[in-house]
Amino acid sequence: MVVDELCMGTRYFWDLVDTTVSPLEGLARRYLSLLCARMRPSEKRFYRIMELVKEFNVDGIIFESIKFCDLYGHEKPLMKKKLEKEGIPVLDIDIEHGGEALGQIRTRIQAFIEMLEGQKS
Amino acid sequence: MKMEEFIKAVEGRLQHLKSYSTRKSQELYFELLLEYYQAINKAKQEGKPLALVGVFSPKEIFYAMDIVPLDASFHLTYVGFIGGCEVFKDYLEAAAGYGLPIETCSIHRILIGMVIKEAISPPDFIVGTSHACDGEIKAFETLTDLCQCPDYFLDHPYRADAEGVEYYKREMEGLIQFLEEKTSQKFDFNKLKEVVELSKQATDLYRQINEMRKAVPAPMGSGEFFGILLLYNILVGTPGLVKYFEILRNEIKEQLEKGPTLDRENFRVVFLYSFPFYAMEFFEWMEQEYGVVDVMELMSTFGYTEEEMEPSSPLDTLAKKSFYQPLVSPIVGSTDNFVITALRIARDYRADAAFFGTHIGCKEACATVRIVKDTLRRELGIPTYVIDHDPLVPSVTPPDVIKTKFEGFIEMLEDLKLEQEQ
Repeated sequence: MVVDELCMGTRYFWDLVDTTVSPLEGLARRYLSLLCARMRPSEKRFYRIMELVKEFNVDGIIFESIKFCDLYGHEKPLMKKKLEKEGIPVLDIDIEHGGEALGQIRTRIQAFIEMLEGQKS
Repeated sequence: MKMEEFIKAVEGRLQHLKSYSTRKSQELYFELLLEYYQAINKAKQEGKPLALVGVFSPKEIFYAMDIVPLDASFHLTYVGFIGGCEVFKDYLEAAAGYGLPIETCSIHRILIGMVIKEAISPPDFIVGTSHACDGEIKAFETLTDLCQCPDYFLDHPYRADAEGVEYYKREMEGLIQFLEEKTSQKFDFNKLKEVVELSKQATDLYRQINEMRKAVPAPMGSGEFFGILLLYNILVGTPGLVKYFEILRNEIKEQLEKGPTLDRENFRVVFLYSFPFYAMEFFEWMEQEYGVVDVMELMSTFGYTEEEMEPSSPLDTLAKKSFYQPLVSPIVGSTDNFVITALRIARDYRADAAFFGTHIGCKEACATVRIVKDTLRRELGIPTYVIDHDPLVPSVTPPDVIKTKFEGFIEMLEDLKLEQEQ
């Protein structure tokens, strides 16, 4: 894995607080610019993902969403469609907190990697 | 179910009522509904813009511009209620094929499925709002992508204070600008004032009807009332709705003078949140079999305010109404709004019990169940029957399951009554 765009991942460190404005304004701007699926429009997040794809030479994306999260649940097919249109293979997996079904996820990731290898060769 | 088929079903229902109904309001209800859908169906032909709009959007603004608004969520509710929820199977499958997880709200999945299956006329634009429902925020993005049309999204604030009202007013000004651009017509504020005057009249009448429903015993069976909210929400700002409410108000008044229509009223219940639209016969059944009457619904309730609408300041008054109107007031902002409203109606309508229809796909409402149940028990000593269900998908909780659990609940309620009497 070369980069992530997870709620609790590196996204947390992007776009630091602007210290040239008042602290409260800087914090407000920082939190409002977070690219969570909660925010509209989703294009901004899509463009950020595309930047990461180019910057980190990404061959494929694993799109993980947590069950019962409506926001990512809705965003996933929309984002997948846009990414695949750009020629980026996407594996979508649903997980639940607690790490169940790890074996199943491992098998799906193996198949995805085989598909990526097939594409490369 | 394509729009033409649905219109035929509404026509059929209207013909049936004309033959059998003794109440003018019931006929008028379906006449107005038919007109609403005919307008949607003819919009393209008549050169009128068609907008697919969110359930909480300010319909008055569309009517003031002669734009035809198709209320996305309530369209499904009507299809389920009139056409039967079985028709949704294909749309749910289409949504699953598109990639939507089954845990998301069925209303949004069906809606997206309907667009995929071309069961909804292609809109000229889409307008959504962010009131309470997180799913709607994203579902409307998907709809815009599928329909390939412009959209506008009204961001509704969390707090109903002066700043919140000003903020939403600006959001509506943004919507007006968007509609002006898309329709190439100048917005007429005088026309909006006229529409808001009609909205005020309907709103005042709705409040009067809600007041009359406090009578013990209840003036009419609950089946009479659940549809009011739907019609109010889709037609607010039209003369037809005012006429309907006037007739209904007069009928209730007359009924109160004559005496109740129901044989007995053993228990009065308030209904919180979502109806199982696939099992509406349940309400008639519980009235006839057990004398249990739904006397008020949380979603039909206005937020607690004495404020009246002011048509001379239309945007200001619509921004305020966006916080206290039925459907919205209990579910915007803090959970306290939900709890306080539930408590208020249970007390004001002298309820013996509450029914909480959860809608399992709605995280916002499900999260309040325990706190509402505990508060009603603690403050008023009344129990709550929680009906976990999906309002449009019968297989989740079939009608018979609702009835069986209800019977167990009523036994408990009867025991409680006996204890209190002793």
